Amino acid sequence: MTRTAFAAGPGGTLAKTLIDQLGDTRTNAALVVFFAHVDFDGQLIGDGLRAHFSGVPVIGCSANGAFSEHGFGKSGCSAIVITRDVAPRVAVAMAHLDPDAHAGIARAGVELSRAFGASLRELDAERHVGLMLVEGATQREEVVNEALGNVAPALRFVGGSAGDDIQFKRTWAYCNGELGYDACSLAVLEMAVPFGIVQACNMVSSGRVVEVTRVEPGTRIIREIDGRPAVQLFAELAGKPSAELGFVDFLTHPLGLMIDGAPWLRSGVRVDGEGVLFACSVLEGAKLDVMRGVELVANTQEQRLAIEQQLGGPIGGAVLFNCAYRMLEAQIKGSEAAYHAVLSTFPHAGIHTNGESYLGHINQTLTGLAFRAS
Amino acid sequence: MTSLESLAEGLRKQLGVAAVFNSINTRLIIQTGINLKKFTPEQNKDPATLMKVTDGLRKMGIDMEAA
Repeated sequence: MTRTAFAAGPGGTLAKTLIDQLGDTRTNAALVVFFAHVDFDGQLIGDGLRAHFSGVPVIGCSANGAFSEHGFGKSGCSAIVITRDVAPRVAVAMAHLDPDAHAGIARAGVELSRAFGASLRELDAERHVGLMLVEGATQREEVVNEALGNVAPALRFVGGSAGDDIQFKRTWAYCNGELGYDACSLAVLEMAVPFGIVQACNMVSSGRVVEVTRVEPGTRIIREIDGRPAVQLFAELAGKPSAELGFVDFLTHPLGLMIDGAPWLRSGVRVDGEGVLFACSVLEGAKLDVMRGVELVANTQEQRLAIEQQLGGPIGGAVLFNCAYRMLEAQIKGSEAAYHAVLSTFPHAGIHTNGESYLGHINQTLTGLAFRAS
Repeated sequence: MTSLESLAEGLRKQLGVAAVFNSINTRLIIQTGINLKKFTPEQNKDPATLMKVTDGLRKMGIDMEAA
């Protein structure tokens, strides 16, 4: 049975508090995943969990906040034990992204392949899935996702960008005793139960499509949309002068790359001259839908039911990556408790991220791995 | 391969499983902007577009020239 935990400071006792809640799962544990506020000592927490769950892989990363069905909070730490009846085989590896993210991911891929005794590209994508916890401060999620696709194009990696109080200065990832600031912790799981990818997003297309006509090469800045300074679109959508645009205006009006009817959100962060800095890179020439929000809690409830339908029964456990934008939206609207109440109908451990990943980098979603009970 | 249409058909055959095709197509859309399930007649026969897709697939270890 999947066990989860949530703990709030003090830092020195976090691992013990988590272990107390995780109960006697040592003999059946296949993987431990934890998320801890960036101010906590990830090495201490990870090593504490590793010492308790002797021989079981442990991965984790820093967070903007953590949550489980046992609690939520900015200064928190969450953890989940995925058991062998859910995932009989698990391998983990840490990829170092400096100096070359492609090379780092490729090396980690070799390590994971060795552990599985088969190339990652040969694993059955319907029975295997990957988790990725990538450092989230240096805008390398696009290249990391691309590199993972090159190593294992069919294998679906789902995950998120480590958080640091939304400062984008320094985050960390942990894997089996090693903590890295330039790192991506990877896990590959062979699943013995039905599983699915959570792609919850409370934004729908307004029906208006715009074209990104100029981007700043090598950055996440969009300079022009439909041949006009990008900032003009957002001023128009917000109904205010561009000089008054703030973070909430971008949170309210993300753009969506529509794939098979589902939006892959690209969210603005702030004005940059006449352009807009986004939280995800966008290709020049991309046609994006202007999105509008729907109610977060009701939408999340709908998405939960959709996942249950996909799994053919109740969710037995989930590892969830919730964008900090959604965390802020829930805080602004006073719906944090209601939001977490929806998620708390099933066991889970989650992180408020600096971005999410699923085949590519995404913004403003709740992304994750959900599975049936064994 | 002389068109996106034939390339998409060849890729579907090579991969076998529809879900895998969808995953790889999503990666291509994000990385190149080209959707193998939804392209314009101009894109279909455009050599530069074709090259962009075959290059992207080659990086993933999928050689469509050999298909």
